[in-house]
Amino acid sequence: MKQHMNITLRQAHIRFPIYESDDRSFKRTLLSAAGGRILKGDKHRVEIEALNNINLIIEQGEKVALLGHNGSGKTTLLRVLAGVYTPVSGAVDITGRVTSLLDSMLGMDPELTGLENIRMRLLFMGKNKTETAALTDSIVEFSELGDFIYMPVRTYSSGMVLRLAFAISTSVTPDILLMDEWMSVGDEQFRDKAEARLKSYVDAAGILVMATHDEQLARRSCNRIIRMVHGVIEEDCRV
Amino acid sequence: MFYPQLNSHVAGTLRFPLDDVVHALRLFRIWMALGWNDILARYRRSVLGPLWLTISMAVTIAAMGPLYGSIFNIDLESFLPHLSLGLIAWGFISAQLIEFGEIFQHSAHYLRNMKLPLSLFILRVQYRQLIILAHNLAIIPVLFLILGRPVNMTLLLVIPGLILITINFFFIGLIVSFFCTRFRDMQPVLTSLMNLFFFVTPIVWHPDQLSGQRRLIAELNPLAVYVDLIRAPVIGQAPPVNEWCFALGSAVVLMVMSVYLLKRSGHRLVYWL
Repeated sequence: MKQHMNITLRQAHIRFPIYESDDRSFKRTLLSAAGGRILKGDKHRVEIEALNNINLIIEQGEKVALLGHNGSGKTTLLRVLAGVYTPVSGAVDITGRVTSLLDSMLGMDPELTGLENIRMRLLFMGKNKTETAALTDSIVEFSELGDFIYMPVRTYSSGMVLRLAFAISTSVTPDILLMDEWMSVGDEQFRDKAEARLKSYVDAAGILVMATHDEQLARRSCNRIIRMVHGVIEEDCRV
Repeated sequence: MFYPQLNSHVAGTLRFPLDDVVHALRLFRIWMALGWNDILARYRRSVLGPLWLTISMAVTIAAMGPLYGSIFNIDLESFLPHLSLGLIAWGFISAQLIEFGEIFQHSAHYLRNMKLPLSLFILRVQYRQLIILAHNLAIIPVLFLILGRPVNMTLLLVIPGLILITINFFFIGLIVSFFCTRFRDMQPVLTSLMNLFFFVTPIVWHPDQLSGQRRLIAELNPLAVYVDLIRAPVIGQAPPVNEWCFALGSAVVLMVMSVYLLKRSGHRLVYWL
């Protein structure tokens, strides 16, 4: 029996400190520590408010689409959910094992072959040798990479990287799956296959949070749509 | 990407550093795989592979030994073991320090994708450097055979020495890596400091060659102590008690410092990348 999973954010704020090249220098810090003159911006470091007062509860079985323009905070929110960014204030509580497909290399080492990357990623997922061996064949099959699986990942097209990453990440049913703009890279046929796999996965009661620009896709595969504008949740509706 | 469940890290408490280290140690299969991959990646497509580590060290020793031996007018039989062990121990220490400085930037794609204990990356560097050390140490039995030099039981002291150094450098690693990620111009400073320290640490020369006050250069240099803890037992001398005490003391001090650092800034590190 799966443990109950849930995501709760309360009044979460994320601010990024922006370090100018001179602000990052040790000399500057040392000088100000030594009582040197206070330079503009020393007291008030430049910060960008990426997420502003986010209150969000996502329950088991919800498929959430994050919609919003570039820079609206979709990816930052996903990273908070992945546990990467700790909010400056507010609370984040995540129960369940998180799998995330966030950056373009999707956690793969370009120098390693596809097969080695499979082994590495499964290791990160906490799989042992026998489990890895058992899963590898189905991953290779689902990714449709054929003999490319023996080639370094740097030789892959972005669509191929995506196929492999998606196949690995969904090979073990994760509790919580986070995805960022992934659908745009795959071709039509793989997209259908991936959507089908996602559907069966979410039917098995997980949580899916995906950031996308594709309103159609959001309506097709999600049951909750959150619109973000300038780091604030503007609209949150269930469909 | 999924990670074995971490307890929700409470920023700013003592639990954070403790959880981080314990968790990293538990994920030993990950840092061992990452460390080993680093070595393989460097020698990918080369025929001899990691054996190049051994070869290049052997070449360095073969070239520097006779040259500096004759400059200093010391017989090769005692100079060669001193020099080669010094170079190998120095390589272990300085490479760790330099790699600590850039490890978080190099691991950014992991850190930005999932929550992982920060110590895991320190252990990755240390494991990688331990493998390199093992490759380099393979030269020593050959050298001792050629020189017809016996070994005695003090050799076993190299084990506690290495353990103590590894613990020290784990904490140094946390401090240096945080510092170099936050202040980007520390990396070049670190690199040039290491170049300087190579000359003021008794590797190519012997502390006995210095007289009077100048001897302090060797005695007050902490890196010289770490080098000696590896070198002396293999040569057949037990390291003096004060060196053991220093290494133990520094481990405690560095631990306190790095726990404080993790507690204070551990949850901010990803923002600095």
